[in-house]
Amino acid sequence: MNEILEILEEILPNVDCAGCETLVDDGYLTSFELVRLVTELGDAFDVAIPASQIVPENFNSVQAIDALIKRLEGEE
Amino acid sequence: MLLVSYSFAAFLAVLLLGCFLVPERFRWLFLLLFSLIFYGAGGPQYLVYPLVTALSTWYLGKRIDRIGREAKAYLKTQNFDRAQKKEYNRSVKKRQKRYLILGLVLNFGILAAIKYTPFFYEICNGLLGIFGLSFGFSLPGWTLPLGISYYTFQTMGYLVDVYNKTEEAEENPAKLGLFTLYFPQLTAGPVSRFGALKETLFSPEPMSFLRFKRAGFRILWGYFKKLVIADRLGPAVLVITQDPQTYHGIYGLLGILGYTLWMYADFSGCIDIVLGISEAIGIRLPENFDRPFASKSLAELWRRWHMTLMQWFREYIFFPVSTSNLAKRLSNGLSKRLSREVGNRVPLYLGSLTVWLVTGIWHGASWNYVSWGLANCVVMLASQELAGVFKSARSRFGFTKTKAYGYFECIRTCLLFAVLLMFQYYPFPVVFAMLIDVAAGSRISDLFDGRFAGLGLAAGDLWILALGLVLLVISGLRKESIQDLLLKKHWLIQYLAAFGLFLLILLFGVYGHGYDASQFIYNQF
Repeated sequence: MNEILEILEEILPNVDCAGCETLVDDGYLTSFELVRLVTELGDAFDVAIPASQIVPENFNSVQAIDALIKRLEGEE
Repeated sequence: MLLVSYSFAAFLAVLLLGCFLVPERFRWLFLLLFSLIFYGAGGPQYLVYPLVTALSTWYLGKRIDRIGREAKAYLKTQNFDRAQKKEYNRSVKKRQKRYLILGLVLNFGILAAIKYTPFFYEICNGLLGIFGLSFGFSLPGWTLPLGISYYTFQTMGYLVDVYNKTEEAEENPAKLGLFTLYFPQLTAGPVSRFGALKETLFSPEPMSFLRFKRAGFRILWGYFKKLVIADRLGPAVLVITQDPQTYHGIYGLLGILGYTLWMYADFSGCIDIVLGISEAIGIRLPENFDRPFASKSLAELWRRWHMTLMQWFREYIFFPVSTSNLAKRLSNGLSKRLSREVGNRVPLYLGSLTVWLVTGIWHGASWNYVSWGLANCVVMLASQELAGVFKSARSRFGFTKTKAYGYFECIRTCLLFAVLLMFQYYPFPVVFAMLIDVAAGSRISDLFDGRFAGLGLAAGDLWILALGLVLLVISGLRKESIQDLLLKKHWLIQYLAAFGLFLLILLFGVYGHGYDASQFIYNQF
């Protein structure tokens, strides 16, 4: 979870990433940041995030991203 | 076989009757048979193309799936640590990728060879022309197999899904054959995903009178849009767009708006017929339009117009390209050399550019379509860049929260979409000249100077078009579909409305003796 938070804070330096549960819904993670986040997560955790999983529910909070990564790691 | 033909009406009648008689568990086989007949009606030789695609996709999908299953079983017998497991999985993915690439190259290769050879020939001849050379031969004209883009995209999406393990490979080649050849969606989409379609396609819902009635309303509404609005508007729009020297000024504006309306009435009408026929036989296809002209931005409009194709591009092109190693390397390189802001933009720009280049070429093999795709890309990236400015402006001015401003945003988006569509028709400089001419030389009085008569629209046609447009606008303003709205009414109103629509199509549809029913615009893809 901490690694995800670090990546998020680097991409969104002025946002309270740990407490926010609407990162996509409130427009903090726009297309620019989302694409970068997907790439960085893929590198950090060595998982391929399929496009079908790139939906707001999976990226609205650190917890949601963590759950997504764990799910994908479990599948591999 | 055209959806607007007597032979199709007979085909549909037999199909519907058969669906009532054939047991549910065999209905998918019955549909496969009818899909083969439908496709083969254009010439049995054309069946070769979708059959090659279906069989190669089925075989390669099974190979990819089997490699994955065998690897999983093997891993269970080994005591690998995490690193060894990752390494092993990587080698498995590499083997699977070979089959995926083979499938993509083969099937997109067929599509490219059939659809784009004349375009590539033109480009190469142009390049040779610089050195005073040419091929010295012309290409023979050949007919595109019906729906080749639709079924190629569908099947290749399936193959990628199997590779990504989001879908299991289909064991039965006949079922993959039906997924490829299911006849209604070959005419103009939608582009369905295997996962979303398999249940409804292979186990259709039981035939029911209520669904049959709902489907009937939708089919009638689709034919109304096509035969009464699109086929009446189309010829008049073509007169304007093909002769901009005569039809300039306010006629240019009429041409721009008319072209968009024609396109919408034709395409969404076709989709209503396709989805209605499918619903009647118990198959639910995904929606392809969601009131696109109620959009407040171009990006939103493209999420509501030809939705399934845009979703396909998003999933299978945009994200894979923007998260690819190439995008990453370019992004890192530019971050170091220029600035981080520039580097961060690279993945999104690269993904968007690729999607819109493909969107343009998908719609037509010519430079005009490439320009149209890129023009859309430029507008959307610019609005993405300016999103912050718009947001702060909106928070400063109270009127931007009013309903009137919302309508203004919708109209602005429609106009932008309509203007960009002109790039499909004319080269860049001509569109700009046309816009300047429309802005500077539009006079309402010009509509009465005699040129309007040349459009071939009599007073009666104008009244019918006005009625059609009013109905289109009413249906576009409501979230509820026409068919659902009618189903809530008293049965007498339902039948009167259906009969009225039928009469309107019969009396005012543009067809009859000597009339060559025009194809749906989106058939050509």
